[in-house]
Amino acid sequence: MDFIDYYEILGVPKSSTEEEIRKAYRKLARKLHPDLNPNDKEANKKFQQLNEANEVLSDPEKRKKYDQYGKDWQHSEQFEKARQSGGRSAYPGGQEFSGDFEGDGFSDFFSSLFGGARNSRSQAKFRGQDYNSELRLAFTDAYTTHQQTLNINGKNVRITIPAGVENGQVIKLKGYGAPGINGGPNGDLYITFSIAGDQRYKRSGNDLHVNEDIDLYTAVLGGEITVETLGGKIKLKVKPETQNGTKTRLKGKGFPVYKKEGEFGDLYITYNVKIPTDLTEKQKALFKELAAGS
Amino acid sequence: MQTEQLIRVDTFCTWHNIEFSFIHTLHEYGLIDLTTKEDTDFIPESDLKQVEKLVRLHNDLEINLQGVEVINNLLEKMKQQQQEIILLQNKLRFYES
Repeated sequence: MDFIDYYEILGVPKSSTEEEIRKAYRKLARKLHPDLNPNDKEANKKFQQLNEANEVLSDPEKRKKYDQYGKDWQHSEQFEKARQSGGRSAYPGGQEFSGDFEGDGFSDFFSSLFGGARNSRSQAKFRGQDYNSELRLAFTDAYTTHQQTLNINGKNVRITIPAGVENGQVIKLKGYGAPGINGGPNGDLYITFSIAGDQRYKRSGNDLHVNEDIDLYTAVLGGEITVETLGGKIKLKVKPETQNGTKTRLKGKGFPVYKKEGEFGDLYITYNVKIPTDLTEKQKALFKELAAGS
Repeated sequence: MQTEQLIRVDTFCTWHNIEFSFIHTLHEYGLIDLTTKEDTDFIPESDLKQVEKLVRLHNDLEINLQGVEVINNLLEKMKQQQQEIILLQNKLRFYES
């Protein structure tokens, strides 16, 4: 286990008084508290380290052991027993944390962090902490309602992901967070979806945008083309004299609307007229004739 | 018909070891909604998380109620801005690719 310098975490020298440690903790707690840094994993991690540091350094006995034994302070009893017989054990079976923070008890949040800090309200029930997670989906995954099995803290949980979910969207799974304390309710699990882009389709809400190549002759004379959509191929009539960059809308051929079965956004097709290449001499002559006549 | 669980304010206060008046003050500040049935005040379950957060801000971080109100408003703004950022990032992805 790497050595964690609790003094460094609190930003205080080793000679600090209890009051100085308390002040340093409160100042940093106001900066890093999860309620003030929602969805900030880095701040949450630092806050947990801060609480761990405070738990040890604000307790004179624990601090003494930490100062003496460093990273092995939690095993100090073993060292003590080795030195003297009938030694007093430090932690097993005893209070994990006094809950003494200027005489006030711990909040539900603090209790969920330490897995059951004991204080004078030791039978109080507290709600478990919420968890945040990210789930990556391919573009086409988000097109259909499907199920995925996630491993949440060692448990396999099957969730249904509705079609139409958007990039950055957050869903809540009630009760899948940390267990409650003393029979309190479990926290919730928040899943943020990260949806990959697509080479062909550009998504804007429930609408899709796509560029479709058409040859010059179809653009000029009109005709029929086959267009690939997420729901399958469709035949599309192209009007004569269709200009390059013309947009056409196919209603209901876009992305599914989230949690509204059967409802879809639209597909916008932008025509990209391709100029023919490698013309034969005859073709060139015909084009010259057209150019002369125009 | 939708039903919602209601939590008695006095029960909530006992569990969290806070004064009854604190919850009522939060209500007066417009920070939380309370439901009253037969002279008993209740917190809707859907608001429980929000109320607990306000309690933590006051108890853990020793922020006075005016400060709690200001922080609550700022956190709301932050949340809206974060959602707007996601929306704009999605739009930017659309134009960049």
